[in-house]
Amino acid sequence: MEQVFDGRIGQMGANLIVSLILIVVMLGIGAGAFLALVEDDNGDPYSFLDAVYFASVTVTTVGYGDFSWNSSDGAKIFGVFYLITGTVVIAKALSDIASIPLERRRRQLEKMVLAQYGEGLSLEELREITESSVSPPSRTLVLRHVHNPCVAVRNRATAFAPSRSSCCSCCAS
Amino acid sequence: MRPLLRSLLIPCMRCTRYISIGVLTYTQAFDWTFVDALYFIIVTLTTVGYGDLPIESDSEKLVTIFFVFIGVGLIGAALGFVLHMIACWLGCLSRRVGNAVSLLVSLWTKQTLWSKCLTVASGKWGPT
Repeated sequence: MEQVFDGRIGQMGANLIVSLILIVVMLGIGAGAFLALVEDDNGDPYSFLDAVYFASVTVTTVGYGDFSWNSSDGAKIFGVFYLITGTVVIAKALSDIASIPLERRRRQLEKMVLAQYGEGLSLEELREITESSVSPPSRTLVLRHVHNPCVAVRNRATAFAPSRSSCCSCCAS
Repeated sequence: MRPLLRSLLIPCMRCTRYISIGVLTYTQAFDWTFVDALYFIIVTLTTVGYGDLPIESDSEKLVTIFFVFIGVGLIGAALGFVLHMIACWLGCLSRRVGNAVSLLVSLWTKQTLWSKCLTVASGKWGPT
């Protein structure tokens, strides 16, 4: 069966695109303003690399202090607004990007659980399993059960399949 | 007013009040200019901390100690609300962007050559 890419990029892909665009835009704004507003001791503007370096150090809240907005009042005022918006937006974008592997893992787990239990689960039960599986103990529980269905999941067996006497088909009595 | 904005109102007012008290303190007690004080406070409370404005006297240090401890907590709480609001907006935005990109890509893939290229590039192609 041939699988054709249908052009859907999904929520994660869209998040990634928007986050990358936001990061580039915020860095660009910061670097551009730094080039325009701040001059070095000789009155010359800084280089582009310096500006991008300064913007990254700023929005990640590292703040080495080797460059700063400390040259004119206008630069300081812009710095105030840029710090407030930039740190928040970049924090959000970075956390979005960082959550992509977690989300992928959650979906993988969801697929595994679905393959195991099929239609035996209601939506709430599925959500309970996949979301509780973020913490290590219950994740190992679910995974152990997925790998070896005959291992009984003691404390969650009733939550998984309340209607059945056994939790899977291979060891149904 | 929309509930998202309303949930933001009280933390923002608290932060504004706190920042203006800080600006007043630094300008009146330590003779900083308004812009310097505001800049220093924002740089400090966003935890960036360039260190370009000198804190020299003991009284400045003492005030800054208490100001930072209370302020970082206040700003952190307010930024949590702002992050939640940005998350809602971004979710809406990225859904639209995703739909737009999906539409563009699906228009592209109507052509057979592009279709094959994209199928290979997306890693989903394989011998049947």
